[in-house]
Amino acid sequence: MTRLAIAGLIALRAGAAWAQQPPTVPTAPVFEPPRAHNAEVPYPAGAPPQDQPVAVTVKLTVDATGVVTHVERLSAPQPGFDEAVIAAARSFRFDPATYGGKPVAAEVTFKQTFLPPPPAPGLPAEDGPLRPARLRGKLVELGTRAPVAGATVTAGTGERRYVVDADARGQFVLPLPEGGARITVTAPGHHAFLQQEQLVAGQELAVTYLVERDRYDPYEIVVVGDQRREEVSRIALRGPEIRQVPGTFGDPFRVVQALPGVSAVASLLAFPIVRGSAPSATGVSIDGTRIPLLYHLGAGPSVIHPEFVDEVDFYPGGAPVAFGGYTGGMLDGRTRRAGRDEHVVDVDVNLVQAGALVREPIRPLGATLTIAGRYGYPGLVLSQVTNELSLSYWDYQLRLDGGTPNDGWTVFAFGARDELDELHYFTREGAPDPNDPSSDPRREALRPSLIMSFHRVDLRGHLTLGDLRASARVVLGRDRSLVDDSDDKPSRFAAWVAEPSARLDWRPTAAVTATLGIEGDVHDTAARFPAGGEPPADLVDGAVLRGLGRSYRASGFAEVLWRPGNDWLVRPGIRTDRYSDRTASHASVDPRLTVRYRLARRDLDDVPPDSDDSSIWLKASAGVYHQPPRYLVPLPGLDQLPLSYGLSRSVQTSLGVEVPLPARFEVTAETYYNELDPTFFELARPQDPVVTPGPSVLFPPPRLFDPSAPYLDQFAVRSSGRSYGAELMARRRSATGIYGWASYTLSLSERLRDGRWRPYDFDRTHLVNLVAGIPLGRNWDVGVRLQYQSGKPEPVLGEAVVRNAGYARFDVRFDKHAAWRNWILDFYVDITNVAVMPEEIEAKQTIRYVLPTAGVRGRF
Amino acid sequence: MASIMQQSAVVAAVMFGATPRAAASPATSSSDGGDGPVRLSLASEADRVAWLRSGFRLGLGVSYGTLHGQGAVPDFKTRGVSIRPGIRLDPQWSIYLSLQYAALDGGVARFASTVEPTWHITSHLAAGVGLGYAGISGYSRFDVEPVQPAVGTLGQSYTFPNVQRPLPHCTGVGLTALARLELGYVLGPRTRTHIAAEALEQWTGCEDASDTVDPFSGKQLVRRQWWAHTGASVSWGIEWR
Repeated sequence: MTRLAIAGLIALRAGAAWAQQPPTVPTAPVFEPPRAHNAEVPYPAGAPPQDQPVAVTVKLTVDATGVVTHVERLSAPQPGFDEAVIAAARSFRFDPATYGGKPVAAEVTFKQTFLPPPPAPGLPAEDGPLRPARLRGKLVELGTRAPVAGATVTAGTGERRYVVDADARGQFVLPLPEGGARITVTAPGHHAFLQQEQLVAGQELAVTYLVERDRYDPYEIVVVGDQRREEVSRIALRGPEIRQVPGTFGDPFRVVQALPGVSAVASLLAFPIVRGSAPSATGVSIDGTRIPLLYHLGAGPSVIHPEFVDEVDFYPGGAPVAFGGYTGGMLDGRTRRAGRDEHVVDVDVNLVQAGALVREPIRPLGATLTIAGRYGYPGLVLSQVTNELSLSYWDYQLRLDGGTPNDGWTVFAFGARDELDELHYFTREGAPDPNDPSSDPRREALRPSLIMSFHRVDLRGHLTLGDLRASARVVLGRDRSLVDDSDDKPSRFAAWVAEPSARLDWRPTAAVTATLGIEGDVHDTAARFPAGGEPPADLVDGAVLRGLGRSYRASGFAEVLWRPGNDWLVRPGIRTDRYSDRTASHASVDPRLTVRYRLARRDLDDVPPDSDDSSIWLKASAGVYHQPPRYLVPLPGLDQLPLSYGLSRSVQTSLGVEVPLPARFEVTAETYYNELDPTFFELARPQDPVVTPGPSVLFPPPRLFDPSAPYLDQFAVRSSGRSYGAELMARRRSATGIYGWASYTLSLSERLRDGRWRPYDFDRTHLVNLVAGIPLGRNWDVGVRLQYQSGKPEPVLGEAVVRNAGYARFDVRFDKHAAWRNWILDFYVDITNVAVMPEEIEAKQTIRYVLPTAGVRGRF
Repeated sequence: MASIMQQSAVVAAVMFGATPRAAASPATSSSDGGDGPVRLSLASEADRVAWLRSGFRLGLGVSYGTLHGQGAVPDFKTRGVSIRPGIRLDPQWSIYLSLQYAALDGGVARFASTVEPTWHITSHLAAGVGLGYAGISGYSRFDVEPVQPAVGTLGQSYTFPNVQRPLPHCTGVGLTALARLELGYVLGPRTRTHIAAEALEQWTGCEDASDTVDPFSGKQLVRRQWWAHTGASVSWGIEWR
């Protein structure tokens, strides 16, 4: 762990960069689940005898008109009962789910429990004794306090039974004889409720019964319709796919590491290497707002509370023109607008961090406020292993949503701070007193080696006028970093950020959507060096100093999404950016084109026939991408290099096919070829001489470190590159059943050095991922993840290159949900690298680690 | 927030076996039309019976034990944690996957992963055997002269068969086998606790990587040796269903 943290620090210090271009995207729409009008299942006439409750669980696909189009049995076969439930479920009618105000198809689970018939034929209530007492009750759901509709209440007194159906609000009144009564409540999708009551003549007994659901699952409903296929390489993740994947700390953004086309510097370091591009070539944003520091301490969870993130869209290539400033992939977290009457309190505590989220409506403003914050204390665990290193972090989010999904506004403030402390050795002034040990001038203490922080305020609004949707936004921010290279003389970097943008979406016909956007940003970066004004010789020399000051960007983009027929989608777009700082100005023009062709429609039971999800698609894209020169990984306040180095450029092309299969499976295959010309400030490292058993250097490497030249400038080398490969993925999407994916990527990424194509420093040829989430009975969920990445190049003997051993990792996660009166508890255990598999970080440095975490989450 | 704090205080009660039960106070008679007192369901079956049902189980535990090295192989004391997912197959049989992570003396770590069929002899007593994968990481001694490979094998990776002169550094994996006896007590329908005793044998393929790299393959030269340990441990744990 210690070595890995140090490796992470080294990676962080290797440089810093993040793009300055927040792409503008529409505000995330609100999803409303379908509501049932009727959900009654008559007891099957021909059912076999039963002496225990029989539960049948089915998954219903409800189309955009509220009609059940498919019923899939999820529980074990139970002849006689299955048929009754499936037949009845086909006739259920719903108010359809809506997404952004539009009806969409959705999946819901339904469970019917058949109780055994009464043990003896009870005497008719009409012939029984007088019923001078009344039982008045209310049925609410344990944990959520939602009313339980469609329940049957049975009271047994001696040999007699009295039955009443509760109303839609879960309320009932049942006249009963005086004395004891055994109460049973049965309701679809719930466990049987049992209670003993004592009734008194002439009095009414009022009770509230908490009825337990069969399964508490926060991801019970998932949108399956309206997943319009408009990009070539977009992978959208939702629900448990972004919350319960093992080895991710339950963090939505870390799931990207398990997707095809993504490799890693090291298994725990979260910076994605997407299709062989540098970490700084892949952009990360939340609703289009750039995040200058995505992962706490480079290897921890992301800086946004997971509850804010509704969906993660990952573009390994072919990103639309709304995303600019990156020559590699794009990762965009989509948040969800809070509902007007949402009340949520969410508390999460585990071995390395604690956090809370509170959401409450503010009625005078007609808005909903969400406040969240987390504090990470991995140093507490780390202190059991070493006293030379300590880590801590925190983050916060404050969000106010007002208006409606069509005409609304949002204020979103968020920020984070990370601190890494290392044992520093320093000398006090003054001569030591030999008789006083405390006067020894040599001292050691934990001092900050790296502090990174940022703050953002995102103000945005949107308006819908018929076919026109307009949105505007301004983002204001402050970034800071402190870097101390163990000499107790920290250097500080800070930047002010302003990023305005506006966008128009116009849909004149059902077949055409046109988009027009403008963006800009201003960054003002300053540095403060240790006393004396002399910057340290290594980190802040050369290029860094020239990059300080004010930089500007102005951008515009236009795009048309055109469906010339039922089987074609054509998406041409163009983007232009102009960058300037005190060293240079550059302009770029990025044309891009995406084409999809519906090769065939498939008749799948569980997918609406007119859906994009039921078709075989051929897809292709080509586009030009530019970005300003950046350091290798981000540091807030220290990201962009001087523009005098010029812009980096890539030409991305891809060709693929999507094939839907029964039972929600889908297979996708895609090939890609990216030309990278020029690339800039990639690792392409100068090398130390190779140590051999011989008396001297056997083969000197082509480029040695020059101790007299600025350290960073030796990395500032322009080059050409290419990456190409193929990605294969089989995926099953389900919010209630087994979900997951298996993927294989063949990836080759090369750079032209000294006239020859050589593997890129982070090139890994074979990438394999297997992710599966399995819901079990009694509210258990088990997740497994297997990842293999082949080795990356290691320089040996100068010209010769071998690859290290690569790594395999196996992660598991267990989740248990339990309800307790008016809140739900989630207990989880997440183990990263459960088998403690070895990983060769670099030549002669192999580590073994395991990261077990256990925690509880309460949702009120 | 005060009510939240009060409710969070019962998290531990839930985790350690408290069961939702009927409210202690009786329902009140009223005719004012308001909601009555809140009641939870009575249990539909005895807790002990519920634990006999098949289904998924997850246990967490802490353990303390010793590892005795055969020959001159070093001994260790172990303090660790265990994570035991498993499946109750029927009232008599379960199968567990036991994951153990322990700190040993001198900054050494041990990990083991075993598959353990378990026979529930009575409702309290269970016995199991396990076989799996185990390893040691980070053993280092700098006060011992490293053993040298046989003449003619310098510059090669080499396995030292004689454990009377153990390698000064050991990181590696191998096989382990164990026998386990467990005494359990049901705390509630969701939770039970247990104490257990284990006897184990572990064979570890130690590797001591040198600083020397083969100039043509780029691979490190490695000294290897098999270490055998016999051990015992006691543990206490909580299990959920």
